[in-house]
Amino acid sequence: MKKISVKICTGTACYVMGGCDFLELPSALSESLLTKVEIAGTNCLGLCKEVDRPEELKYPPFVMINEKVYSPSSLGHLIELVTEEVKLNE
Amino acid sequence: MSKTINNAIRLKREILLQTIDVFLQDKPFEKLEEIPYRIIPDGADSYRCCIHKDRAVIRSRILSVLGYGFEDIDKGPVFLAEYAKGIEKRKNFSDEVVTVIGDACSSCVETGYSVTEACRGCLARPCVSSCPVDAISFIDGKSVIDKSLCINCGKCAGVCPFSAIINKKAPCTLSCPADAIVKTNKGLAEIDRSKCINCGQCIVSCPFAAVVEKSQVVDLILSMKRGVPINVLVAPSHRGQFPGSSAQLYKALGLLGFKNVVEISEAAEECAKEESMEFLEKKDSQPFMTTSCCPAWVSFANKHLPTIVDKISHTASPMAIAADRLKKSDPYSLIAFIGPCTAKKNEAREIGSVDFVLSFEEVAMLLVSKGIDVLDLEIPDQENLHRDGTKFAFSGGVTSAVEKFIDKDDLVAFKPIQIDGLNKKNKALLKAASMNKNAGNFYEIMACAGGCVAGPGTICPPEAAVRKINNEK
Ligand code: FES
Repeated sequence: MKKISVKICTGTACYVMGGCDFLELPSALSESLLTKVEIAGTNCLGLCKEVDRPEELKYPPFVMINEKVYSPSSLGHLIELVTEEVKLNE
Repeated sequence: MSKTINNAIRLKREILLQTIDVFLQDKPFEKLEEIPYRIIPDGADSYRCCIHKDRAVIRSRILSVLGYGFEDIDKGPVFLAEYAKGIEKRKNFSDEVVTVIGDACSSCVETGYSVTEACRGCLARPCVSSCPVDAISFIDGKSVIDKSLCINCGKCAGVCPFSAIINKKAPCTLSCPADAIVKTNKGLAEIDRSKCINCGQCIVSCPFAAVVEKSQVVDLILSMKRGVPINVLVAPSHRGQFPGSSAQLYKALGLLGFKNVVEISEAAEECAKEESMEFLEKKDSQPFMTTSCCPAWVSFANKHLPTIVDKISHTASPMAIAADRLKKSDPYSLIAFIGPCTAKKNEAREIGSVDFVLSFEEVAMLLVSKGIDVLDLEIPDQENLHRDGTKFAFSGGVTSAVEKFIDKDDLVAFKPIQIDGLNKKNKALLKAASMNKNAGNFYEIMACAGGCVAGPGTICPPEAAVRKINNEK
């Protein structure tokens, strides 16, 4: 099965708005989930500079899960999103 | 207690960013008034009772970014632009670094004395007779405390034969190592300045982010705009707080407008060397010595454990050493210090050579506001890293840096003790030491558990910061 790609934005805006917390994701995920995802940091996704962002992407930090961008409010929230995506993929 | 990203912190940073935007991008001060409406637009869900209260809290937060505390604000209508204009007239910063946002605070859990199920409704009713303000009555055969009258003196709890009256504490009160926070009968946290050591633990612990520090960031921006040259000292604990390498960060700080960027770890190394010599000198004449680099600890000793003060090392802190040197080489520039620490603001005032103290959080928002992306910056050559100095950033690091400067032969006499955070147990150890019941002869003391990497002005989890410090070549 193809792994779920999780790209954590580490551009300055995202990193300092909480993205650095998300970099702890590998140690926060369960072993079994960890084998199903591919986690990487990425340079600025460009979203922080977009003026008209939809309401749900109002604030950084941003994370891209399989090409879709999210703005998780906490590490717990990100784990939820990843878990959901993995389930969908199965 | 470490802070991880949550809604309260995000909101706080967003307000900080938008406030900084106004000054950095030369917008008229009136634009400040728009921030609460932008963050909580009409029709938005409210965090508290209504969006008007939310907006009022945001206004108070903006005022704290402008450097005003709860106690500096007039009652009645508040015009943010007026306060913004007042910044230029500010002569010096107040010693009262930590302040409470009243509107945000009163939303906290009900605290103070209350009667539990254990109340037997006894005949003697000592609670009633002990209460100096007649706040206790009996309803349905049980003791009830009238919150509007209660002054939280705790007499009733002391006399109850069933220990049925308990004192519920707020997170801030619990976290404060100096017992400096009391909740008034209106549920508001009040800081007792005679006890407060400005360590900022309350800032970290408050789930409503109702405790804040009075910022100096706008003062700095305005000075820069006036063309005042400002050098910047960067605390060793900056690693892990920003994306990219240290060298990239220094370049980013240059782009922000700082004249020279000075990494403090070199001064920290010197501090370790001097402290090791001081230790060797004193080890036979005094029972123990404590470190001096944590200003919250020094303040704690002065206010709460005066008998230990003469055991604190006389070696100046890395910040003081670095600032002193910088002042000598470039006397006409101002100096800013950036770090994770609230108590450094007090130290800066005391030593006099540091003009601004900013947190990593504040500097990060300056970078975002200016659109500087640290990761994108190209750096020519490798920086010169002072490995032992960088260790000052976490607990145990100072000890190991000092240890390196002690000769093998003397090392047997070196008995370090780590005081990692001013919790109950550690405070008891220090108290014992102050009465010459010391467990070792070199006390490394950090007010924040984990050390500076866990300070209130940090951005990232301490584990990430420690990892980055250990990995950086
Ligand atoms: S920093 Fe993440 S989108 Fe720009």
